Amino acid sequence: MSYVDTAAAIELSPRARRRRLLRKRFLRRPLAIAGLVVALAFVLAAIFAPVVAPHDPSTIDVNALLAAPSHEHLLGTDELGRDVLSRIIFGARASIQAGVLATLLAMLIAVPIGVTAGYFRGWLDPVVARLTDVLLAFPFLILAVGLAAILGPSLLNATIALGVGAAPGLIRIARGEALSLREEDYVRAAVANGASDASIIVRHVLPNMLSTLIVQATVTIPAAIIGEAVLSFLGLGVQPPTPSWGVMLSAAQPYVNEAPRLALFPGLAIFFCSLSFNLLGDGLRDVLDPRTTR
Amino acid sequence: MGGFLLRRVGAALIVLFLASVLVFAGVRALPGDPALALGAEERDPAVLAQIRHKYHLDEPVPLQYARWVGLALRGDLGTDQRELAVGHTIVTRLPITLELAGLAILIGTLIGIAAGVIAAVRRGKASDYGATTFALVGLSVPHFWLGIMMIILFAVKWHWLPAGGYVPLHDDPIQNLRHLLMPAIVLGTGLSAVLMRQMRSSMLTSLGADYVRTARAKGLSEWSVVGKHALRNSLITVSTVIGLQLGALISGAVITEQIFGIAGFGRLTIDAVNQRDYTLLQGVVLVAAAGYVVVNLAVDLLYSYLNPRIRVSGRPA
Repeated sequence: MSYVDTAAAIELSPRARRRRLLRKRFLRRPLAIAGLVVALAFVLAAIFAPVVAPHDPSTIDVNALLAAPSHEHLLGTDELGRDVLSRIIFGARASIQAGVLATLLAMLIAVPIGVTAGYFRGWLDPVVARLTDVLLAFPFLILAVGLAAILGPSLLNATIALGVGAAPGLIRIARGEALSLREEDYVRAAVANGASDASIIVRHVLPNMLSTLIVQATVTIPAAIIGEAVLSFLGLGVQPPTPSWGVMLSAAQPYVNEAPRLALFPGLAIFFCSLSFNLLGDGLRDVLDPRTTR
Repeated sequence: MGGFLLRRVGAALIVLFLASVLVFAGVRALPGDPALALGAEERDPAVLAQIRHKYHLDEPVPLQYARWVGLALRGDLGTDQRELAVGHTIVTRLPITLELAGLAILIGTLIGIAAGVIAAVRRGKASDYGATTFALVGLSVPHFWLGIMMIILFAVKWHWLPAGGYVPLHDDPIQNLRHLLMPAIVLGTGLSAVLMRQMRSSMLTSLGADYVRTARAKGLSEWSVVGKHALRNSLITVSTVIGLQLGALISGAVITEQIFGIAGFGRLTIDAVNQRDYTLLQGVVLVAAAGYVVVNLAVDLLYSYLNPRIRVSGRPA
């Protein structure tokens, strides 16, 4: 029996074998699986919000202002009689959009700059290193608040501000990876074989830093989701009446006495959304980086 | 050591210079003509030209920058929309935030170190899982929401603590502490979570190191092995983490002060943005960046003092 298994394993390509190993390692981590499931649930809720939500998120019901949770409104209604559950489901759109797009933008800025600086070195490297130091001297939120002030308040601008704000840290990581990868034996071998810089970067450097980038992405997404909530809370992101978790929290503040649940539910949504991505990120780090495996 | 010191200070100065250029350029990039804003209802070109001349807005940009930096170095950051000196406003607001941040660092460090050490020593036991879960929750929870929840519970429901505001320390130390306790816990949670993780992993490394095995072999008590040998070496990393977390702490102060209605430096930043007060914003951001650079330089130097290997190679291992 074991003989057959071994034979089957040999037939697999090295890449497929690695993929199978990684999957096996991932499936052994219940917390990471839970993170993946919950994160996917949030993404699906955002995409299919009109189908999933029991009510229209902006329908005002003057007969049910600040109504307690009931069969009709599972999480109650807000100060304008709007269904809280539906607003949270629609609010996932702003959060997921900001989280994913800001991370994507940060990667698009950071990876080319970081890899170019780390791979080619020369005069470019110290310049990039200093410039990232400069950008890192501005606290993330101050940078994002400043950018949002320059660009004007909207979800798109908040996303851009968060993406640009997250880029310096990622540049540093991408540069560090490229710096160490260029010294690897297989890169030297490729150089000796006459491979061009572009093909070395595309075929050797980028694929080998992919796992680091994936882990970084899964921890940048929750940071951006919280960042979007903060900016919207401060009035620098999503504008009411569009539902967003930060806007809901900000609107809930005058009612903490009569209806504290208005502040409770959107916060729980932010918490579970960001927790799920963090759990997934922790799991992926353990799976992809054998050094941290216990 | 001298060369190392010079290199580090030089790098910090370059970063500071570029940061000031960025702040200056950023404020110039803001939409709207400052002369129009200063002129209020005035649209007469002659008056606007006069305003531009008065505020040196008609000079070449590099000259404007040089004038601004020259004055900033002497502590003059200009006057804001209410004709108040920005430097003075910052100096009155900053101590409030520093006290809040100091308390937050104290709470965060105590909890973070204790939780990290316990988790490492009792690895795989219930207390390890408890501490690890606490760190994960601390990293995922939006702090401004945590603040709102604490206000609802401790101020609105149980009336244990005031919901917000600030009482100066020299007016009433007890009230001062009562007002700052919740904000400091909110601000310290993130720090304690990051520190706990760092402490746990570095303690695990230390506990597996040869010198700890030697200490155990000598028959030292477990208390002395953990406290004297393993902990001392792990504390070096803590100093760096605090330096790196400073940015998060400043960001956190901005939103924490907003939630608790504390008129500190962070609140000033948001007010400057909301009121489109660019002189004020420029000054606030410059001071925040300068503080970050200076503290990190201090941490760098402290770190190299604690760990001589870095001085030789010139960069952290």
